[in-house]
Amino acid sequence: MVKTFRFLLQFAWINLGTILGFALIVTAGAWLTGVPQGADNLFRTYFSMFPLLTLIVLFIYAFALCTSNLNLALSFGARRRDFFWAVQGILLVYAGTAWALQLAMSSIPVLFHWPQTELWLFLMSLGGFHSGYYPLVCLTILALGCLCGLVFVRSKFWGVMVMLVTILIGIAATALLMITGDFTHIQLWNDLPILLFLGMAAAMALGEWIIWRTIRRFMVR
Amino acid sequence: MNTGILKAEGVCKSYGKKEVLHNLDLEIQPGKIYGLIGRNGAGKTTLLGILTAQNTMNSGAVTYNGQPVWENQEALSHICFSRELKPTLFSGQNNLKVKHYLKTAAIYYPGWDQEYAQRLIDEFKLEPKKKICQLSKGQMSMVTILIALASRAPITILDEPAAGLDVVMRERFYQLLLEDFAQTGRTFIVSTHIIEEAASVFEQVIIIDEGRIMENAPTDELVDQFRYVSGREDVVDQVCAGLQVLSAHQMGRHKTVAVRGGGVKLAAALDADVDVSPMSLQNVFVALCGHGDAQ
Repeated sequence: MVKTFRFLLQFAWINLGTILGFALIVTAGAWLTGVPQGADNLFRTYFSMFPLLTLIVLFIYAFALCTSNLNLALSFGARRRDFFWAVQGILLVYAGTAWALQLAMSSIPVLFHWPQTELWLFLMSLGGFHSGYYPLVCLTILALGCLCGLVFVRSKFWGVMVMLVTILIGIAATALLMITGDFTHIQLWNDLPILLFLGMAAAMALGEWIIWRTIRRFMVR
Repeated sequence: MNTGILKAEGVCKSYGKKEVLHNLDLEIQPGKIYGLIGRNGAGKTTLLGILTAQNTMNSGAVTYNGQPVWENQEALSHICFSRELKPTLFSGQNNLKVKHYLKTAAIYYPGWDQEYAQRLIDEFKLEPKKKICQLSKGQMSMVTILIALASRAPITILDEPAAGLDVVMRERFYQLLLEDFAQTGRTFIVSTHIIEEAASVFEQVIIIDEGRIMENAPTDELVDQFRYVSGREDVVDQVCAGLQVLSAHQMGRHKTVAVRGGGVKLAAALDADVDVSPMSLQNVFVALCGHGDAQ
């Protein structure tokens, strides 16, 4: 498992560097263009919605992780179950990084006393490390991205189908994050948050199960 | 080198309704260079994929030293199957760089010889930072050969290693293979279509045809069983009566047949008014697997 994790990490660390760099550019851009003072520009949007942008990036990373890497790893003598667990490790690293970034970025307005708190309400509402919703959403999107990559190499049609399902789940995920955020204070949702939470967990579990089956039956080409 | 026996028993493999391997048995003994030859679509790559657990099978068993190869890290770390590289991958161009392949090989093969790999990179004039999709067919073959040789795996399998190489590089490859074999004594299985050139390198030859092992014998012994008999049609027919005739070509009254075995009967033919000449491995292969297509 360690070998396959090392194999995947040689590509993953570049992605991690990219997303960290992107976060840095967005933060610096927001600061330099006067977003803390109330400027409304692209950097403000990117800064306040960074956790959602991250979800799209995570999907792309997970997709790329599972297209040709399985073929390559198996052709070098990796075991299928090692690949599965190594992928889980990489997905955790990605989710952990996204979670940490969300915490770090939501701390910036507080640490640097940025006024205009209503401008980054969404970012501030995700609860840092105290809420499990955001990492769950990250892991679900990552699992579906990986599944999409695996399916796409076998059938473009089914790959696109999984992608469409992921988009729908992404919308549900956004809704979950919005309505469970601290800022809404709306009591109209009844059981919807818990239903979305369970749906998200079920989508992740189903995705993982199909990933396992696909890897198990995979043939190197 | 500590190599074991790689064994396939009763292997069957189908792609959809098409059966590619039929109840196939094969034993790879340690310390030999095997040549695996077969026509396009005969099942060579499928067989090699199954032997190395890269491909699934419908039934049968593949073992290394008595242990199943499937999902067995110990067995898999002893086997290197260096496949043909492709300029495109599932999702588009193969943008991986040569250095990624070499780094991956270094991760997975416990016996990876980095010093030797570097020597080969220099000799083949490969640029590690170049993408696979930017390499010529010959350069891709060089990467395949480099990985196979530097892996130092007890069982090393090469699929079409000479494809795209010029004649000088092909000679150099056979030379490197023999040097490595003399040094390490590891087992090589080389799948190739360039039979004539590689024949002298193969200690043992496996001929696969339509998903079945047709021959698995020492190269010299196998080739020695075959002869061309040519001469006047009626005399050739008389001499070859009772022999296994594999193919026949006729031009006017002159006839040439490829025959197998014969022993005393074939020796007697030498006294008759016919020419008896030896066959090369390529001729033997064509006679066995040609199915009349070569005529």
